[in-house]
Amino acid sequence: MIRTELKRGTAELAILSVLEQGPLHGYEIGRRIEERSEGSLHYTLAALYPLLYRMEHRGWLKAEWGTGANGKRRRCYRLTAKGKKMLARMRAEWADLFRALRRVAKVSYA
Amino acid sequence: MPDWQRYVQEHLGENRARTGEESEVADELASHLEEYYDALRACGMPEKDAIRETELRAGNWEQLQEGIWLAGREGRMNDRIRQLWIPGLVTLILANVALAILQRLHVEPLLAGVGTFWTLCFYLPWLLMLPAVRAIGAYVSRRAQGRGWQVYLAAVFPALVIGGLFLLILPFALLFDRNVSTHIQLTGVLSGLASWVVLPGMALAAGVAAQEMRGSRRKERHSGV
Repeated sequence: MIRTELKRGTAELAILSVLEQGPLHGYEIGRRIEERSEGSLHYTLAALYPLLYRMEHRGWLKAEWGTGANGKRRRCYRLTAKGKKMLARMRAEWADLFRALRRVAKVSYA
Repeated sequence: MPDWQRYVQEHLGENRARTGEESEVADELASHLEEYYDALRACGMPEKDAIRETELRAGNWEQLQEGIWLAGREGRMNDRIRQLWIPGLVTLILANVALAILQRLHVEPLLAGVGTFWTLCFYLPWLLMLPAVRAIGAYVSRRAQGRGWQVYLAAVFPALVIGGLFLLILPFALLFDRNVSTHIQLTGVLSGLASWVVLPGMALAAGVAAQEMRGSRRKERHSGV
């Protein structure tokens, strides 16, 4: 299990990555992250929503209310151009970090 | 099925759910919990366990409230910078550059006597240029979704800054400069304020008001009122 402190730093990258495929609502964002990380990353509402709102205010995401397939109101988030740039930047930074950690702490990654 | 909307509102606190924005937050959180609960039930989890599991998924409510408040504050600060301070700074810089250019071109200020004691000193071309400066500041503010008062403040920002400097420097000059303290006259101070604060302020504000009126007329025409 990944510790909360470590997860906190990864959340922005995880959210931006799952939204790269298309707009999603909050629950679906959390579910996809959990699914893709095979259960290693899962966020409570307290962790997920403040982050989504912050990313929206920073202009990385745009949120709009709509109606889902089941007829329920949902707030969908989509990546903005600024968010796409940020995603590319974060990927590069994380790749650098992993390379450095691999050299220093003998951490390996797939 | 539990009423997740009510559950969220109870935990977020009544005060936080009053404004439109907060109530939308509650709607969003409730829909998240509802979907999570439905998914657990669809997997065959007993109702009691599904409720407990869903409540755990909410996490710490105090942390959630604080996180939402902090995110909102960051957003409001960013908005204020984009809607007020940047356009205000743009207006201030442009107004000063315009004045500096006129002075470089040796344009003489006009002196106009009002009554026996008042003498206004102003650069007429500068005052005529200010509506254009104001238009640029208002445009920058509106582009960032600035509202009425923000557009107004951004547009009259140069006059406010000059006025502020006037009020800030004058007491120091009176205290520390003997020449100023012995020769200063109230009418002179008021004339200076009128020339450099009131007149430019009026030129800037009148431009915004005219633009607002044109805008609201256009809206009325479009809505067929």
